[in-house]
Amino acid sequence: MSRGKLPKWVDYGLLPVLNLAAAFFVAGLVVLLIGENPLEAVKILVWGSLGFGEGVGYTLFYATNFIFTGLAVAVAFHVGLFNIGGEGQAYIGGLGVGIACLALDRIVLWWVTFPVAVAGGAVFGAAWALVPAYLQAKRGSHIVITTIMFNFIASSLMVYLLVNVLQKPGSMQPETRNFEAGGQLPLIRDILPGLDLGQAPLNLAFILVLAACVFVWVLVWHSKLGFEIRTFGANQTAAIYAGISPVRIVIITMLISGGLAGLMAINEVMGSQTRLLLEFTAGYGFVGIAVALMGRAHPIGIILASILFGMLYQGGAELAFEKPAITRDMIVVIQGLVILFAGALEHVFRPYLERLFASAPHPAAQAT
Amino acid sequence: MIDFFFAIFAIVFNLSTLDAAVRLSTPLLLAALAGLFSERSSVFDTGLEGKMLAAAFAAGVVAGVTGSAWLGLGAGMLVSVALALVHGFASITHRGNQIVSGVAINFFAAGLTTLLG
Repeated sequence: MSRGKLPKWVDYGLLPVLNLAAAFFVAGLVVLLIGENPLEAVKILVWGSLGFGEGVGYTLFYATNFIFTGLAVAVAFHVGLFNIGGEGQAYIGGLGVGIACLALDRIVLWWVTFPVAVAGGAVFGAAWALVPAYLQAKRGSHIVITTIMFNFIASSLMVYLLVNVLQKPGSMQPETRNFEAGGQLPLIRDILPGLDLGQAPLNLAFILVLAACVFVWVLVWHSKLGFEIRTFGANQTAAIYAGISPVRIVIITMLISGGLAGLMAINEVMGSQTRLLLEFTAGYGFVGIAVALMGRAHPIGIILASILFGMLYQGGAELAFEKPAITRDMIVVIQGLVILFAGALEHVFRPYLERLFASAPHPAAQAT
Repeated sequence: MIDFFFAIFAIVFNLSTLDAAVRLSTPLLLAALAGLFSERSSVFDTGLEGKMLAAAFAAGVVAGVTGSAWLGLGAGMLVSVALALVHGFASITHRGNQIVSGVAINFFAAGLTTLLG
């Protein structure tokens, strides 16, 4: 790795911005190809996501989902694993949240249900990551393959449960009954009516996700476990020589990763939908990959990248409404381009920047 | 019980099942061969899905417009090879993460084919 040759602000500021600009440039070409004006599209997108209170509320609501799944992917990155199963882990996490809410919502107040639901989401999400983690640690089965397959298993399992077990009696819809007030998170628009959030379902899960960011920051950079995680991710042989158990560290990290992905369901199931339904994850688990890559697997970067993707989701909906030629699939294209430029092609601009900033004195430059 | 097995036997071993089996196994075989080739050069190709999707889209469009199945086949191969070049540029030339670049190709193809289609 050539990391450390560049000044920090270039490595963590300029380089991601350049990669992002390249991704959006290609996305702009795609918009041109469809026969629309890219600049006009950007104008509608930004206005739709940040131009008014309700738009901002929706942007932050989507961002909450992305921060959860982005943190999940990022934690796995630090141990050198690519957890592509955030989608399935969040889906099964929703089962834990849903069961907690269905069991408690008629008995107690929401703030009693809340910690139980958080535990349910985290435990169920972590459990869904346990089998791939075990197979990776003990048998060497590739975690990318197993987690992709577990997404499909989660999807089938939830269809079975929602159609046969959890379905509301007397209904044809494959979903549970609506949670009563005891199973609903308070919405920010009800707590702070002055913010003019319209119908945006931004809820208390936003506070929870900020707490999760602090948790990940402390865990990865300021704890013994985090040191082991990063050591194992940087050099497995050295980590094993230093006495770090590879099985233990892989399984623990994947459990934390799955738990964070499972917490996404707090925002969707308990906060917004107030019932468990099919496909509530809607691809948010996959966006987490793009978010984690763009945010350089750091909580602050992930928050910024998530807000950007929240803008794309909310603004993209407005864009699809204003310009029917640009459907919501444009978001998937942009997502793919961001993963390509910020993830796979992250080293393209590095040599040029290194040449540009080579004269800048930096202690690490002399060391290498 | 014997009747049951005969019934299963009759379903599995008849011409239309054979026909469907050959038809359905063709893409699997081709994808497996594709994966084998890139694996031999130690590139782990997670982007096969996206390459096949984009190629199918291009082949369908070109065959539909020109009315020639062969031109469609050629267009599909060209698009798939172009995506493979992107994959190679990212993961070989610039030593990017092979899995990440494959996933990116999957997303790009999934989005672009529905967007343009």
